[in-house]
This record gives sequence, C-alpha cells and structure tokens, in this order.
Amino acid sequence: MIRLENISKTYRTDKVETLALKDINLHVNKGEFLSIMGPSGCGKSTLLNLIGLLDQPGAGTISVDGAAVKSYRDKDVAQLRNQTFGFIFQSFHLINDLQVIDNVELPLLYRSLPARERKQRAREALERVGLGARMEHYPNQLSGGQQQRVAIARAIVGRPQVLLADEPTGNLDSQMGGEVMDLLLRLNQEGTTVVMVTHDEREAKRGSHIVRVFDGQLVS
Amino acid sequence: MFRHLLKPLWKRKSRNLMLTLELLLAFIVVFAIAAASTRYYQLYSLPTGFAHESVWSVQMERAQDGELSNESALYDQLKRSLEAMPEIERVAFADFSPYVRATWQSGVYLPDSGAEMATDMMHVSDDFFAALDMDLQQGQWFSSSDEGSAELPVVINRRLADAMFPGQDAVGKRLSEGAPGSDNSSMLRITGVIGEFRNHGELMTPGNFILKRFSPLSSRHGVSTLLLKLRPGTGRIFEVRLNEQLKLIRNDRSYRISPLTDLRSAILGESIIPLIVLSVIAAFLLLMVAFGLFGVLWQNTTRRIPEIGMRRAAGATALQIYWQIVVEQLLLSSAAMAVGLILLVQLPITGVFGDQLNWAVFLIAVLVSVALMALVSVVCALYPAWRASRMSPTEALRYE
Ligand SMILES: Nc1ncnc2c1ncn2[C@@H]1O[C@H](COP(=O)(O)OP(=O)(O)OP(=O)(O)O)[C@@H](O)[C@H]1O
Ligand SMILES: [Mg+2]
Repeated sequence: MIRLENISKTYRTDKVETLALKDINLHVNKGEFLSIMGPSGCGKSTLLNLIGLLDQPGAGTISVDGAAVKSYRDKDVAQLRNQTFGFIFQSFHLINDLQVIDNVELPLLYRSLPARERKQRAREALERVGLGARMEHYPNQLSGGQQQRVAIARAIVGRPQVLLADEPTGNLDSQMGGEVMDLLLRLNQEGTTVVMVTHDEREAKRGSHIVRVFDGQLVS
Repeated sequence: MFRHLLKPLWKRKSRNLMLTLELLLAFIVVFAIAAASTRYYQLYSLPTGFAHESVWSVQMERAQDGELSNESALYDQLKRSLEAMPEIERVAFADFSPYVRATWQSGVYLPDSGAEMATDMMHVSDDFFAALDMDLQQGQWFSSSDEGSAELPVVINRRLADAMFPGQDAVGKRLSEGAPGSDNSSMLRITGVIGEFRNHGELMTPGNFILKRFSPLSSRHGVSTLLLKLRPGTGRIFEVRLNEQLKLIRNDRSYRISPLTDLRSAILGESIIPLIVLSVIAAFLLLMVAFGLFGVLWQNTTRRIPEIGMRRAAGATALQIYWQIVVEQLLLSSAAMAVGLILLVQLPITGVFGDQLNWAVFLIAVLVSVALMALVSVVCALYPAWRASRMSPTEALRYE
C-alpha cells in the first residue's frame, strides 16, 4: 500500500539541524493495523506526517499504491491527502465555530460533491462513530472522547484507504481512550488500513504489527 | 460553500464585531479623505470662467482713504493713453481684481414675488469681458449702448439665472438689489448670462455672481482696479515702463502692478498650504488606520494557522485556502462598509455639507474608499494566509 525507501528527514532551524529520521525503509500493507512506538522525540510524528504527505522527506522515495510520489506540488499532494488519507491528531483540531456535522463534512468541501450528498455522508460517518445524536452540537459541548470520535468521523468521511492517527488517545483518559481504540480496530476490520503512533504498549499490541523507532531509526 | 463561510463568521460574531468596528472606522476615515480630495479636484477642474494669461492687474492706491468718487476724466485718460501703448491690447476697470481675496455679497430679489437670493457681485467696465476672454451663454454683454438706462445693466452667471428664473430665459428680466420698495433698492436689468465666474480662482466654491456695469461716465462710485490685456509675449520688464506711464497720467496715486498669473499662484499657494497640512494629517491617519487594520487582520488570520494546517491535511490546496480567507474577509469588510454607507449617505441626503459634498463627490469618494478598503483588507488578510500556506501542513498544525 505505502512504501518508504531510504527516507531521511532533517529539520533546519536558525541554529541547529536535527536529523529526525535516518534511512527509513518501511512497508505498510493494505488492511494492516500498524502501530509506531518509541520514546519521545524519536521521530514518530515525523514519520507519520511523511507517510501522509504532510511534509516532504529530505531524501528517499515514498510510493502510494505502487506509484512513487515525485512532485510535492501543492495540487498533486492535496489531491492525495484528500482521497487516500484520513488524519487524526492528538489534539483533535476541530473547528469550534462549526457544528459537529460541518466539521465532519469539511474534507468533502475540497471535492466536487453536491451539498446533499456531503451532508448525507457526514451523517453516515457520525453514525459510524456513534455520534448520530450529536450532529448539531458544537465541539466544545462534547467530552474529549466524543471530540476525538468527531475527528475520526471527519477522517473517514471521505472513505480514505489509510487512516493516520498520531497519539489519538494521548489526550484522553483510559476509558475514553479505550472507546477510540475500539473504534479504530473496528474500522480496520472493515478494511481500512490504520497507522497509529502510540506510547501505550497495550494499545500497540491490539494492532497487527508494531514498528519501533529509536533516535530516528527503525529497530524491529 | 458559502454557508460554510457564513456560519462560523456568525458564530464568531463578538470577535468579528470588533473587527467590523475597526473596519468601519477605517472606512469612514478613508471616505473623508477621498471626499475632500475629490472635492478639491472637482473644484480645480471646474472652469473659472475667465482667462488669466497675459492679463495684468493694476491697483490704484490713493494717499487718503474714504469713498472713491467717480472721476470720469481720469478713467478716460487712463484708457486712452494706456491703450496707445503697443504692449497693451485692452484696458478694463473693476472693483477688484480676480485672484484677490475680496468679496462683495448682497441680496437680490425678484421684483414681483420678493424671493431673495444672496450673491457675490462686482462692478466691471464694458471691456472687462473681452480683456478676460469670457464666454457668453445667452443675451449680450453690456456696452456703451446701455449708457443712460434707468436700470443698471448686469450679466449674471448660470447658477443665479437658474435659481431665480428656473425654466425661463433670464435675459431681459429684472432683479432688485435691496428689498423691493425699500429706500435703498435699485433695479438691475439682465443683459446676458455667463456659465461661471469664480473670481477667487480654481479652488473657489461656485456660487451666484452678478457683474454690474461700471460706467466711467455715469457710475456714482469709482473703481480702483485696472485690468490690462497685454499683447502675448510681453515680458515683466514692461512693468517699469507701465509704472512710468501711469505716474505720468496721475502722479498722486501709487500703482501696484501684478500679473494675474502671480496673483493666481499666490492665492492657490494660500489655499494649498492648509491643503498640504491636511493631506499630511490625512496620510498619517491613513497610515495609522492601515497599521491598525493590518494588525487586527494579521492576528485574526494568524490565530487560524493551525486550522489552515488541518484544512490542508484534509486536502485543501493553498489556492482554496486563499479563496476562503479572501471571501471571509470581503464578507466582513462588506458588512462594515454597508453600515458605513448607511451612515454616510445621510450626509448628501440631508445636505449638511451643501455643495461641498454633492452626489458626484459622494459617489466617487464611495467608489475610491470601497475599492481601497477592499484592497487593504484583502491584502492584510492574504499575507498571513500566504505565509501559512508556505509552511508545510505539519508546521501549520503545530503553530502556536
Ligand atoms: N518543525 C520542527 N522543527 C525543528 N525540529 C523539529 C520539528 N519537528 C520535530 N522536530 C524535531 O525532530 C525530532 C523528532 O520529532 P517528532 O515530533 O517526530 O518526535 P515524536 O517521536 O513524535 O515525539 P513525541 O512522542 O514527543 O510526540 C525531535 O527531536 C524534534 O525536536
Ligand atoms: Mg509526536
């Protein structure tokens, strides 16, 4: 599904250069649930963002569905992000001034779909995450777990092949985290490939595969 | 898509209200500056009604003050001996020179209805019109053939003609200076109508004007200004000979000779100094407003950089982000400007500023200020959006 070959990433700030990833080779198989683990600052988020084409690698090639991403031109990657990937962030990134249903609908605004179908799909996505009754609410009227489920609905509304989740339970207590994990596992069983960054060994073990990152390199 | 922009705008209304107020304030300041500049430009491009090139004015000054009585012999002598000089084409007399800040205002009345109108006026001799190359719209200039008529011949401008005789031909009509029937009233007979006469020059607000006939033979009072139409190309050096000639004619007077171009520069300069001060203040104000606006809009968009990152992660292109920001900003600015327009349109409707803020000035000022505000607010909003979309979505998402 997604193949990373000899990927490196260096962050440059005014003073320091940080080699965040070094020569990474990784294959994400279709339909798997891949957990990425490792100590803080080791480069997990960087890796996930590179997989989701949110950032450009310093060196190496990423292939999506067998096709190498050659150009990181805005138009080309935007299309891939919109069609292939769904993102879930640790801090939800919901728009508080929009109702839940409108938040979920957001990725569809960047496709040419009639408004009715957008609404319909957003409603379906919310029902899949168990929030069919909260569509008219605003995000700050929901619990953290519910907000993350809204974010998941937003990630799946475009029916992406791959869900990318960066510590999706990091801001949640264990019960709400459990609900979110259950949901991700169910989506995976229904056929969506999931790549998740986590600190929690038990969560990671519920997936089908674990990779460990240490100091910018994969240790398996 | 539109609804998706409107809903959050409305949800953020308390924050947006402040922004709208700032925009409204800026709009009003920009409007005021645009209206003032437009008005000055409009005034400047209006005709003055006369030509000042190669006309010199000579101010005769007497040793003692007091009522100037007519000395027909003097005027006759001045006219004949000056016109004998090869440099001088024509000699005319007037109460005061154009481009001199002198005004004589009085009321004129319709003899029948008693309707009153205030107007500027001055006495000029028959040659005045030719000396200043003025254009007649209707009727005739007054001339020596009007000598001895019981009613004083006058030429009035279009504005006064239209005000006093709307829809009628003013030529041949009569006006009463002073309330009709009162002791000091006298009758004026209109011989001709001119388009415009703005004696103070290009920046004078147009008003009513009556040019009354001064006759060296029969007028009761004298006038003290000569207007000399010179042959084109006559240089300043002629001033010396002219002064000598004038002294020969009448030695007990002193003569102040000034080309109209000099008087014109002087009076324009006088009006332009406050104008410059005003524009410096205006520019400063505009700068403050622009900075204020920029700050507010900058902050407004910067706060949303993580949102922009999330939208791009969800598949928005940079162009789509720009569009969203621009449309949102234009919606806000339009709301502010709509409020501003509702307030400002009261000015021409109620006419508090009279002709200074006529509809033409208002409309141009509105167009200019709307365009400027739209431009400034879009640029101010776009710049942070542009910066945000230059970041990778990752950076934008992490932006604090
Ligand atoms: N935008 C950036 N600019 C500079 N350095 C960065 C940037 N993003 C990450 N880094 C650095 O790259 C390294 C990897 O960061 P990354 O966020 O991928 O770590 P992580 O494994 O996700 O950590 P955590 O578990 O704390 O989220 C860190 O040393 C970090 O300081
Ligand atoms: Mg991280």
